[in-house]
Amino acid sequence: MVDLHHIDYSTFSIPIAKANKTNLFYEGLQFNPPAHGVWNIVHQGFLIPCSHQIFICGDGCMRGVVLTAYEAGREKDFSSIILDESNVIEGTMEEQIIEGASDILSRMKVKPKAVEMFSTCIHYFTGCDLAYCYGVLRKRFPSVFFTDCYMTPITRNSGITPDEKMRMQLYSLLEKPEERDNGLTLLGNNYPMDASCDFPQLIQKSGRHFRDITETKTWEDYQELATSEMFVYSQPTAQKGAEKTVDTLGGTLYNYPLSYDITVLEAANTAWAKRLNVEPLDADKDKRLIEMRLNQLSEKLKGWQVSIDYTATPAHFSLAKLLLTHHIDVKNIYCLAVGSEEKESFDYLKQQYPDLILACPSHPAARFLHQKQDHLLAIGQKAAYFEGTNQFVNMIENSGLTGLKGILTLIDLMEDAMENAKPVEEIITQKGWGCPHE
Amino acid sequence: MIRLAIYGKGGIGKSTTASNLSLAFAQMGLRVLQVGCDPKADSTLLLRQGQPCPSILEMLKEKGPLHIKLSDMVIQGEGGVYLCEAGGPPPGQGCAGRGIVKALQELEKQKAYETYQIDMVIYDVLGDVVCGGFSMPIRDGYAENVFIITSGERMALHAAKNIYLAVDHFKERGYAQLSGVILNKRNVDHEEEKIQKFCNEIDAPFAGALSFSHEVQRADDELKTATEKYPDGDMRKEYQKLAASVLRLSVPAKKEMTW
Repeated sequence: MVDLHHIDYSTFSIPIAKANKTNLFYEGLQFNPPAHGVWNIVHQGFLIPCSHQIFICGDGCMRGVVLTAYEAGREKDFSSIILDESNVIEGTMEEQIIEGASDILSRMKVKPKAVEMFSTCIHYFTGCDLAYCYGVLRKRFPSVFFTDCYMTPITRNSGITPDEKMRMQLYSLLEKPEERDNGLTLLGNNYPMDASCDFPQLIQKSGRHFRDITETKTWEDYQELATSEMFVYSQPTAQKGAEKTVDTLGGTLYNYPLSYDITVLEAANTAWAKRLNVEPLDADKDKRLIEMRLNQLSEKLKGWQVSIDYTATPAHFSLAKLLLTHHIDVKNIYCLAVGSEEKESFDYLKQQYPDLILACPSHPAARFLHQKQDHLLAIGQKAAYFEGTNQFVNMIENSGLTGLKGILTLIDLMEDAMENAKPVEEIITQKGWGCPHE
Repeated sequence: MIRLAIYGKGGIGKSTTASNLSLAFAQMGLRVLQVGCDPKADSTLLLRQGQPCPSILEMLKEKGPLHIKLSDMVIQGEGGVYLCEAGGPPPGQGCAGRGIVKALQELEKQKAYETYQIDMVIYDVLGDVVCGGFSMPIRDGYAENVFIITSGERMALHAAKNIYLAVDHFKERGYAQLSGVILNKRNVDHEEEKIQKFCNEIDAPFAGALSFSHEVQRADDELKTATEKYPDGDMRKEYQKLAASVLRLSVPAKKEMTW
């Protein structure tokens, strides 16, 4: 039991020297700060063009997803089927799904191309035969593509997470192409890649068609994602989905790392230039620029501290390493776990910067943290909220930045954030930052 | 591949029959997997000389979903039969049906049937189809064939009728068919006639009868199958005959697992 009157702060934050990378923080009662920019399953689901979402759950659990759809201006692309106790007692769970979805679809004058059926914890508990339900719906509505999606928070810590599953299901409606072209499809990003950054630059040089779900507008655009010969993922949470997608569609899967480690990025750029048979980017020039700009930033940030949170970038440890090794004072990292791709940076920080503080953003103690602070630059919405600063970089999941040029852009954004305060409350309370409105 | 699920009243001899059938199929040269779908996790005891088979749910709890391996879940027993137990929560707690769903999904995920190139899967399911979880083994993509074991006793036949109703209810969903009724004799008066009448009522084939035999009881006392303990015994022959009948009545898998 957690005594909310006497919060145990000792488990809220720890110096990295004492952190165990396989189990950073306690798990129990959680606090969810009002920093909502990270996309949820509803925002992600809207990435499939011409799609409609149907959530099936008790009405109390629907509030979050209903509001998400409404805030995104996409309420017409969203429906729900409400369950109650009688569905469990009378064993009508499958019937409710089939008849509910049929009712929703039969009322639509223009049928969507795709329907994302979101089952929930109750279906999981009762062993509901979802495959049967979707099979019947596919027969009833042959022009509609149905896919299974999940709002099952109980599976968050057991195997594949809902976020990973969603990034997998987004591509489940792609059909195996008869022919492929020399295109390259990016899998599992919520944000488009910044065209000025390394990876898109390399693709552009190669003349290959670059495809990304975030850029699709029509069902045909979406289906074209399957026709590339190369597939790539960058977000660590996209890996499982990308593997499954390529397993189903064919083609070859590659990775472009999300990192702030210059050596890793340079090696990745070199390998990709070779793979795409193009001239390598001018890494020396970019490296010189990065050194110069980081030194300038370090001067500017004298007397300031930087706080980073895990929602800004999956590579939060390597970002901290980059800043600390350039004499920028990183106060803390708000994080939940250490990803396998981050272990090297984590170990480095543990050895070289043992006093660096790791803080748990979901700890009950975090509830009492929101205090105004000066001379603090936050990278990420949660860090901005907890550290009470208006000087922050509004970056989520790396916001499409990649490679060495991505580092340079982040330096620009940090300088801008120092000089120009942002309306934090207005920004961070908006769910799914950057999710396109209809 | 042939996949069958054995249902019947508690204590009617499902696990004993399943184990002897598994062995009989293995002796025919088939690669057999017996899946215990009962939270007691005791389906496979006779094929492991009484040694309990660690259940999938136990493994999931101990090792976590990311670290559990197929070789942890499936082990070989007597006659090379592959064995696994779904397991479940302690009596009176949790949801046993959910446990079966979880365990079968884990087997699917880890490609058990494909990896061991299984020819025959026997799901040994507990007593009644009381909730969605217990119907899992007969869903589309799992067993195509249901065999009900019953004696001529009134309560055993009552349970058999309920199982038939569940199978019939799910017919429209493309679930398993009722492929036969097996009589496990308890020396009730006119026992075979009663079962024949029951089969006629529900329009199901009579798969065969097993005698009330001390061989089975004595073997059971030693935590063995009668097939193993009495290789020249009458019961081994009866199980072989029943296995041949079950094979004849079963339809093959209409599609492979959808992993």
